[in-house]
Amino acid sequence: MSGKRTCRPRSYEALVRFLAVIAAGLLVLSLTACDDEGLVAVQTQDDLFTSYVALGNSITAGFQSDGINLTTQDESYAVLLAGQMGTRFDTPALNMPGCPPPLVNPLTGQRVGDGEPNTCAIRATPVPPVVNNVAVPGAASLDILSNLDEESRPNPLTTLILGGRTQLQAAADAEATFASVWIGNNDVLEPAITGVVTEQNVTPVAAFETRLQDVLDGLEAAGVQGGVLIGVADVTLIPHLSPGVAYWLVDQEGGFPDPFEVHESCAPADLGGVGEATLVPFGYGIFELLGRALAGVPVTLNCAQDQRVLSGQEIQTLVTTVAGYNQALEAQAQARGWAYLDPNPIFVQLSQQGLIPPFPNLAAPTELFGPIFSLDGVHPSALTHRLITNELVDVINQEYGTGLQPVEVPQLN
Amino acid sequence: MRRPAWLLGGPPGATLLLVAVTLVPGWHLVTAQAAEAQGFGLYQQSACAMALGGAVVARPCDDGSAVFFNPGALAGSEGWKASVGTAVIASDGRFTSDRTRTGTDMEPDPSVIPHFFVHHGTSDRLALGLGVYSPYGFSSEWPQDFEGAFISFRSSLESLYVQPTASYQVSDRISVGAGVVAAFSRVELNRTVDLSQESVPGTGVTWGQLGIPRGTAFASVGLESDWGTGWGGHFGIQAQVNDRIDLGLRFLTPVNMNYDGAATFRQLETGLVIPGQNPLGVPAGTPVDALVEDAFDDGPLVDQEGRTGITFPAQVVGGARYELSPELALSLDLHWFNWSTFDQVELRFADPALDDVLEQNYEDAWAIRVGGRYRLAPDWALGLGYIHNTAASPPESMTPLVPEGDRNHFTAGLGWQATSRVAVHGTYHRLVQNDRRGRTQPAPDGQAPTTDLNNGLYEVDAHLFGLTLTLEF
Repeated sequence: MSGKRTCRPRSYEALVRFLAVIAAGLLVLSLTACDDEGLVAVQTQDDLFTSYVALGNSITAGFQSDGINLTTQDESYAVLLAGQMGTRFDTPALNMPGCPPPLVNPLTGQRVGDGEPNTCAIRATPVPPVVNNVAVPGAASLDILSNLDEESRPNPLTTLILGGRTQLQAAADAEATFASVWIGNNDVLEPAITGVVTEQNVTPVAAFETRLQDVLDGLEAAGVQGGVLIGVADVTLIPHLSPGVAYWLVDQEGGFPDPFEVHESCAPADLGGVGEATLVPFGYGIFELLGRALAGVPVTLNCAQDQRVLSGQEIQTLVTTVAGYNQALEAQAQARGWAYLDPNPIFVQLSQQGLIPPFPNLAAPTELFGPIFSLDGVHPSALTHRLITNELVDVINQEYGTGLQPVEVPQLN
Repeated sequence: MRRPAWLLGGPPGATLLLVAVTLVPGWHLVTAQAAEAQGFGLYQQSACAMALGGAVVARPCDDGSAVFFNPGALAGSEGWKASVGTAVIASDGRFTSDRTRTGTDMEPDPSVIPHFFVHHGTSDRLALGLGVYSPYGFSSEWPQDFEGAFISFRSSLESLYVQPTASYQVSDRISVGAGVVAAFSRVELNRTVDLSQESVPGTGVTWGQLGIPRGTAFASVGLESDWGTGWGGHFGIQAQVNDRIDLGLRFLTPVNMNYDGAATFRQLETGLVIPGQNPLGVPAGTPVDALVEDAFDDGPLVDQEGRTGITFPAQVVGGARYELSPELALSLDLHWFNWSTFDQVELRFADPALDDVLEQNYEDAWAIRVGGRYRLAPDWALGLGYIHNTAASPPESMTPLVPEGDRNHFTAGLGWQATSRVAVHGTYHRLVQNDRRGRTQPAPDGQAPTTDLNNGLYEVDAHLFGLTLTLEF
């Protein structure tokens, strides 16, 4: 290149040697100088679980004892399941004491941190890059698809968790490969808790089925490769609802103060009552009636005529509706090759084991509804989340041939 | 001192025409999509030198580029000589996320780096020269919806050094040289702003604490500077040990650049709509965009003046050249960059509340350059080269702004003496950067970035093409 010289006859051997030396040198230098770094591999149990998103309602969100905070959020089956998958799973962590803070004593109303029912300690920082648990307490099937529909039921947690997105949009943002969907409980829960079942407050099975299909289509369009659908829990099994006959028995044993009268309609069938076929919501039977009785106001629980008591027909409506939801869920799971879990046999078994009390233990407010349900009698306890996790592990392994391991479950007494 | 070889004659007008073409406005004059040397250094000031891996400090190519490669090597030349040329850089860059394992590609945007040198040997011992070249520059562009856009989605830095130089031969074997550097530079930085990290006016909480998702781009911020000016110096010494061995050393001083310009803010649609019963107390269906639009009308995010500053680092290069035969010569350079001066970029706005500091914390870096020249024929020469440079940016500063790292370079070029007064050099340069982990997320406010933020892998390589026309007259 530089330096003009007197040219000699070309020595091509010299050129070949020059090129060979250069090539060998370059090879050695480049090999020793190349030190590529790599991606940090996500150590998941299976590639299917590279990214997991959980959709649903309060159960999935980690709501317990009428409240939610970062502690209860971390006790959700979704978090536990993600842990078994080995995948990163970020929750929309809510600062302590919560939003609202969970109950410590349902009878006195004491909550974590002495908070109030309207206390909300907003989101914790730092906000995670992606939210994997997009479930929102209070969400019904419609709410996964829309927060703005006339029939949608948003609440402050809808914004705090989703920030102006729907659950489906948030799930798409998570770029999930695997999803769990547990929705439908709130489509029948309100009438169960209020004790008033109407055509307006129960989502028809057909509407549920349509929304479910839209949700699953949306997830698959967003790249979800597999998932698990969880059946709707039979709301008549929750300890928040006690059979009318349980109130009759307590009354017979003198467990209620004098102003509280339990009508003979709450007696067993063999005594001419309908008590075994009716359910009394805790909020009505204890908070309203017993509360007034304790204040000296005479009250009567009538299982045959009281509008706030779930009649046998109303219970049948709820049971039939839940069965319809679950048929739709199972059919969709089968059609898409997803796993499906019906949680009701578990709750029936636990009930038969006496772990779900037919009547709240008013003498032990911190164990009001037993070990399976939290202190609101509606939402599963941390223990039950573990039981559900292991049931999910089983059905997922069965469907996908994966090797998820169960979580530890404390001994049940 | 040896007489430079491929000096050629020709009409000065041709040179001026090439200069005009090369410097035509609208081109990326002095930016490289991914800078070629460490940090955002450039070393493509001569196609001939490119072919030799830039290992020419002991004896620069005979095209006037000694103004840059060693100001001390100009002395001893006779007559007028000028060269003009360009290097084209076509680079590929990709970021692959650890989490999703999907990649995002940099926008392809080949850059052109011109150079121009002229010098005149006024006597046996004294030569004067002028160089116009670009030793620093970068350009990086990513899709605006890229997750790293909160650090940068389109940024560039251009520099142009104008360097009058004098070189004097102090003895038969030693010459020295020095030049004054008038540096011109401008910078453009563009990024998006994450609403979730911003404070809700009148409260002590961020939008993220109210549920706004992380990574919600609600504004783009651009800072485009005017041309700034800085001054520096360039010094070199060349020694001929014997008929076969040359040694060289050069030192380019740091140059402080201050930029004044305009900061522009544009609102971006978030697509978020707040449902009812929200903690913000706004009606159901309220778009988030409506909640923040006032900031762009009469709030803090109005267009305003902005300024920043950068120090172009010092360089020291020392090397040797050994002529094995009249046909074959090998050269080796060691190149040190004082990149530790590039520790942070301070962004200042008319509204001090918007001031920001981009922590860089670069480290001094080295390059080893090896070159070989073989004369194929009386009018043809082959050049080959290899370069390895270490990274200037620490692992925590590997971002979309300047995704650089350890690199290996392979060069090959041909020189052709077309006529007694015209020579042409053409070079191909392959740049392979080691795959390197980095981040796409800014450090939290008030915190220094750490490697804990690194969330994926940057892959960068480039093809460079150099062409230089040298005229003697």
